[in-house]
Amino acid sequence: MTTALAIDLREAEQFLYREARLADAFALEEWEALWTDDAVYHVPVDPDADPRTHMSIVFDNRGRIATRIKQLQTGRRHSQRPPSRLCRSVTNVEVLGVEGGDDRGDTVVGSVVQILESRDRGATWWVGRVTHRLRRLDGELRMAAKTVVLVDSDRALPTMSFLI
Amino acid sequence: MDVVASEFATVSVSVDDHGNGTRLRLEDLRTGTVRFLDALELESIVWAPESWMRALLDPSQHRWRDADRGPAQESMPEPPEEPPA
Amino acid sequence: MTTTDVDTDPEAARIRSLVLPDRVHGSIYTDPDVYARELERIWYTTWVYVGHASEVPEPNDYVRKTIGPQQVVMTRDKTGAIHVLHNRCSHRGNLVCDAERGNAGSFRCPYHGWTFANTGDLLGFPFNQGYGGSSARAQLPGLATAPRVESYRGFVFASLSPDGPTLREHLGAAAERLDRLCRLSPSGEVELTAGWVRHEVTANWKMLVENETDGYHPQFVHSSIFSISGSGIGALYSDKSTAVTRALGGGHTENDLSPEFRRLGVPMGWAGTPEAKIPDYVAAMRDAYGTDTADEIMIDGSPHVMIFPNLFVAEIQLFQIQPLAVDRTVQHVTAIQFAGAPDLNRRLVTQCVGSVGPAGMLLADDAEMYERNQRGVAQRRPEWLDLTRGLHRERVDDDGHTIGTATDETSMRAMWRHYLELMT
Repeated sequence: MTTALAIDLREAEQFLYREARLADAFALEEWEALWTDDAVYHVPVDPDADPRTHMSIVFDNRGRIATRIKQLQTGRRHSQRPPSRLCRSVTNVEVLGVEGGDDRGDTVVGSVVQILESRDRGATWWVGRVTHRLRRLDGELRMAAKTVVLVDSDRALPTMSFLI
Repeated sequence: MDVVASEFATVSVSVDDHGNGTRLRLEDLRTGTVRFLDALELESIVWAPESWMRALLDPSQHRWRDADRGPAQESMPEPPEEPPA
Repeated sequence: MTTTDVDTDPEAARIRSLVLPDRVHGSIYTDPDVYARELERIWYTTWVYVGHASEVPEPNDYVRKTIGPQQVVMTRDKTGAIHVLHNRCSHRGNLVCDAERGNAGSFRCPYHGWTFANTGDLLGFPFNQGYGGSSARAQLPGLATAPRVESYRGFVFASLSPDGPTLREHLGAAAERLDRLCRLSPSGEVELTAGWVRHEVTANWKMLVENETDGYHPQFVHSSIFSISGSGIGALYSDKSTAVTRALGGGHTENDLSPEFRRLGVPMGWAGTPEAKIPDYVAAMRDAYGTDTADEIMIDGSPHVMIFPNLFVAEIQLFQIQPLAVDRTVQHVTAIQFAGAPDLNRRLVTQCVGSVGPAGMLLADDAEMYERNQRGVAQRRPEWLDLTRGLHRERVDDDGHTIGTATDETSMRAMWRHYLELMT
């Protein structure tokens, strides 16, 4: 418990800002290195549905996160050629608690993300509530899970092939 | 599941969510006959005038109707024109 | 379908001049007048896929659906019959039904309280003395219903025209592809229970229809994912492939990959899922069909068929195409689920989610191509899109269908032939 709570709001914020900057800049390897081995990256359609039996926009385990990154690195991910111009702000950061309960518990951090994506097709404003599960490993903060619930998650969405 | 019972009838009552939305499931436990009621039907029953409920309780309107009178729904009296006081 | 006399219908003559056997004019994708005519002559006339019976499993279940830009509600009434209702109050035209899905025997308009049964019948309205009493009900209209609703293997189609071919006639040889899909379930049934991802593209709907059975593009558009995932899909769509592109008639087309799957000869090889990972499913299939037939079914795999104009079954996923404007289209997509196959179904959801939708490793790139294509055809020169690939090597198979190789544009030419029949 004490280890987990050692992640305070300021440190969590710094992590979220850094993650946002790396994603905006397509610093793919650095962004990928933020994940733990048991990571889950989830953008649901219906946050109350079981992602193993229901459709999601993104539902990646660690292996699929790696595939997603490699696909971007081929230079032939057409929906990111050229890469989207991105600028996101992360706000409303709150430490919501600890998940797991023991001294290995992850710190759950809530935030709001707003992203302006500009492409040849036009600009898209992506907004959602984000939940991170953060864990300290070898002195470094990592994310064990990231869930982005878009305001429009169950409506028709344009292509979103950048790292949200 | 709850049971509403008296010396005259025994009906189980539960909220069913097997469909695309919730509804009330009523089962006449003496015969196994089941009826589902959705929210708008329930609201309508709440507001139904007493005369409508009295008509519903006439046994010859449904279960014990005479065979030559056709399907039960057809002969249920029209609800009164005026809303209940 | 009616064929118009080109002398009395200059628009028909104009459209014929834009769609030729070996090329189409760019404006066919961008002209709002063409789109308006497509809505009337295709979307509001022919059979359009609306939804699946498994989406309204219980009496009084309903789901909101679409027929192109039209908002409809698919309901199952108390007796089990399925109806397709226009979502428009017969009083003042308000949208009656708001929730995506629910269970209700009747709908009450929020504007003035007119109330309709889920069959469309008008049940009543507030303060009916204003209409002379409840007897006025018989003279006033209910919710409009699709004049024709039929289903095949649980796939519900509607036609907004009272006349025309039956659904079975419309489906023709495509019906057998739905059979092929359904027999992958031990009980022969598909269930669409995984929910929907909705992906909007700034492109004309025909770009999507053409791409669905275009075997020429995968090696290029999807090379990024094929190269890193070791997927064999790219090889299925090469000039060495024994797969064929087939025109099924009625504008329906397919990429028939079963020759390649048979060459591979591995049950569930088509899904890239080894038998050992889905033992319950394989056992249930062999119980249901006998080992030989079950293995044949599991080797042949699922169809890749585009049922004109809006139902695309791509092996493990189902797409419903919805035009919203001449340059706006939504693809609704879900993972196909087979009744009695929970272990397989979970894998299909995972696989499908990775591939489709706005962030899908396949579909995001298809969508990029639709949108680039839409912007491209707006450029003035050279005006035409070429459709000649494989024209010289087309042949007719034993069933009388025109076929080409895996990468030939046989499917597009067939789609356009049918398009002209409907449009002119």
